[in-house]
Amino acid sequence: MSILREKILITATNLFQTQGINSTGVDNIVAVAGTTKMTLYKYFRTKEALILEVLVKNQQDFQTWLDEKLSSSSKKPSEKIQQLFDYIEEWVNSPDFIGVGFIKASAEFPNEENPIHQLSSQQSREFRQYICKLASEASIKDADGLALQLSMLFEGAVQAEQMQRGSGAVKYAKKAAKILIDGAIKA
Amino acid sequence: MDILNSQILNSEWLIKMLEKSSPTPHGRLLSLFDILEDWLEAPSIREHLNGQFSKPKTAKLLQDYLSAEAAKAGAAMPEMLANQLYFMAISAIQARLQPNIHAGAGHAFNHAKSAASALILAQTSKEFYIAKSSVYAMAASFLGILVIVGLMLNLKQTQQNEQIAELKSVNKSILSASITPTSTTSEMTASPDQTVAIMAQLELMRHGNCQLIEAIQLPDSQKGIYLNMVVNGQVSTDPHEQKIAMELIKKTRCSYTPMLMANSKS
Repeated sequence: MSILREKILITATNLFQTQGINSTGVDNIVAVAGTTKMTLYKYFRTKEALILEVLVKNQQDFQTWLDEKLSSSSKKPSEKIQQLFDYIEEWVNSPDFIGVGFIKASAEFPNEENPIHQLSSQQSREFRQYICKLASEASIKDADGLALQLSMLFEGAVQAEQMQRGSGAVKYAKKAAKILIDGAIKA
Repeated sequence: MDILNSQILNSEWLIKMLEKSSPTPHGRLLSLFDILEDWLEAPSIREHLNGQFSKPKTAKLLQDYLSAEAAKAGAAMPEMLANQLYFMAISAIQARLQPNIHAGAGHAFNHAKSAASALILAQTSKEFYIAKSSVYAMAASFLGILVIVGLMLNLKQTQQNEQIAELKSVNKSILSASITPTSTTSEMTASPDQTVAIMAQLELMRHGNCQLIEAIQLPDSQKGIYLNMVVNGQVSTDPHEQKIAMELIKKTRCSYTPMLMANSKS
């Protein structure tokens, strides 16, 4: 990937999260990235194409990081699902964390017909399925139900955290997740 | 009810409904999910929303109300808890409107409510130490109990087996019960927050050094409940059984001083 293309992606990611996707113009992005509109449109056909790519990249980066963490862990499946929120907490509290792309995007693009909305709900669904897979591996009977509960906790905590940075919302979500997971394992 | 869109979340109507929903702040916080579910069930609302519910820009009225109630319930960080509950309510509405996309979405509000109960509990329970060595102590007392149980089962086999079989079937229903609409089951099953409260209490006990009551000393009516819920940790959703279990838990003496700290020589 060209360095300039990469630079545009990173700049757009940051601006989208900090000042909003809709309120970040292409002019703004090229100014901060130190490039021209022409270059931006050479790599990304439209602003929408750029947004979609930012979302895909954000989610891939997070998922890859999480996969590595969980697969290198020697824990049993029943403990791995508990660890999930430890890693989420680590990620949210890292200085680089600026938010979850799909949560932001689905709020800014509520129209179901919109490709950005469609991608963000697909990503939300995929993350839920990922939790469901962890729950099934831990032999939890109602894996779908637990996955729904945990993803609601996760999305709620991330949004609360975005309203009050450093509020520790994820810390409490983690405690709540433990209660729910323990309950589901015993059921 | 003539509130047809996302304005519901910032409406006086919702606050009034919440205010009269329960005598406790804890109950009022959880009622948010029941009230919104009832609202969403109305056909005219469904039709109007047509599968879409977008997050309102703000819902200050509701967020302030939830924040005040969270403070009354003793939350460590009331404003944050309020925000989390608010976003979870939006997730529940959105999931419920898209049953084809979200597995388990038919029970989205019940799942949101369970998650909310756990979250309230996490914010209102005291911090506790986790002492690894206490797990061994717990395992030892657990083994002791098992021996007693074994003897007891031999003595009173028939009666006990019946009780346990009965309780097991109740336990099996815990998952299904937690996802059945609360409005129809409120008399027969305990509220999710009570269930979660017991689970949390048991979880807390696992981290402490507890002297469990010897089951043989208990009256027959309590023995089965004690063994299943307190010893085995299988919490049933029967409110009567939960009450007994809670009383038995209160009688159990636990020390939460970290063993590692007590044992360390330095």
